[in-house]
Amino acid sequence: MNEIQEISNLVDKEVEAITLDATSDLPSRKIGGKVSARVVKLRNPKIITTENKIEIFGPVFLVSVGELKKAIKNRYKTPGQNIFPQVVDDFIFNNGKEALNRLRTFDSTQAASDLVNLSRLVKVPSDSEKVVLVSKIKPLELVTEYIVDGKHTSGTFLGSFDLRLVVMTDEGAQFDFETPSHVVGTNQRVEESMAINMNNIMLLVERVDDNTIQITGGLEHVGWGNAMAIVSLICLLAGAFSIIEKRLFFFIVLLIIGAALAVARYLPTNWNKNFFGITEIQVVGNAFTVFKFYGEMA
Amino acid sequence: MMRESERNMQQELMEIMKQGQIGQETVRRLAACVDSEFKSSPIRYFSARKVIVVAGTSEFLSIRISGFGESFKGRQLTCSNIDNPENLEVSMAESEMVLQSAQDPEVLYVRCGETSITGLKRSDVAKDLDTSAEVLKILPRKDPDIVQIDNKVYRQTGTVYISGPFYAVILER
Repeated sequence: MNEIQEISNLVDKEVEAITLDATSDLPSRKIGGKVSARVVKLRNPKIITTENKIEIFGPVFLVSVGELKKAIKNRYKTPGQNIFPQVVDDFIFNNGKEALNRLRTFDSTQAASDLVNLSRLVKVPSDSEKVVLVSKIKPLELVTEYIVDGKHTSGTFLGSFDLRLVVMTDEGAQFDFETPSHVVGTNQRVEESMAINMNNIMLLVERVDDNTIQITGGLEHVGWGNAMAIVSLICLLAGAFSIIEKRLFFFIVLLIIGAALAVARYLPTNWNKNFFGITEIQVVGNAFTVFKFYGEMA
Repeated sequence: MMRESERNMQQELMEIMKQGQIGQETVRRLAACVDSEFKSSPIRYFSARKVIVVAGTSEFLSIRISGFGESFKGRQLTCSNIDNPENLEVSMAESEMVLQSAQDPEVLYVRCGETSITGLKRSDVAKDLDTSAEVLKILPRKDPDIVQIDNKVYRQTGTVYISGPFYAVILER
């Protein structure tokens, strides 16, 4: 049995003990269970992966790559039509230089720094289901000083981690858990979703539930827009039918109406921008890190 | 009918004030608006730093607190946020009737149903994940409008960089 499995069994036993002890009148701050959280703040954590043991000094944030990518995509926008979320994907997965060229008319120094750091953590779309430990979220700063298997490493950034992995600390942790979560505590107030401040914690990251999607919002008069598109399509189809029936007059009239409506709806003119608004791309949803844990609340 | 119900309500408020188990400040607030008109409130959600709930004369308040197995009884309940910068959220969506004092709109008379008082359940750990988008500023255009290389003309180019073992640069001002 490997070490991670042993720790998993230990966490299960501790959570079971807390559950059985939940009615005890003795004062206790023990808490544990399985939670979905967006980010966990840890101080001086130790990490156990299937391959290494890593120690980090100072405060760090444990977050899924998917959640971090969402945060960076939503952190900046270009005026007018926002192209920044596409630039993020282009930068990470395609040609980084070409993607940055799309921002060449903007003062993008900070955005470029965040992009470069993000691209060090994520290489392929499936990396969204990994987790990372970073020194700072805004601006994004990677962990560059840590100890791997007893060897001090400086200057090389700590990359993303495959799951499962164990993170523990005796020097404080904080996280907000969301539904669905199942947390039990001994003599403690525990709700379906709440903020937790821990003195010590042992957590086993099991998976990432990524339900983030990229949406286009900010449109106005959506009903009118849809109606114009549908009427335009009907006119063009009816026009095509008229020419088959050799009704030239109807063909011309329907063609003009259909084309005019399509032009008004889709041509990016000033009127179009004023009437329908400018589309805004945003990433919504969350990429929760799902972990089981136990420890003592502060 | 409404008049009678209003009279009953005023009577009820007078009785509440006479009870010794509620705070002086609460009595003062109630006294200030006991003779004023109470109107039905279409709003059932409120936000406050402090919420005081006082039981009517006939029954104690029945109080449940999430996470506690037992329920509680009491004459006056006070919930307040002191360190937490966020306000408490008060919901009376389940109540049969919510009347608001014309004199002091923060005094409400609630009949039946359940009022919930909740607060922020999140810390600031995730604040850096949710910052609002910063609009990138457009750089001023300083690049040349026209670049001619021998007979070829290029317009609106990017910055031009020249290198070579030896060359002259002539400026026209």
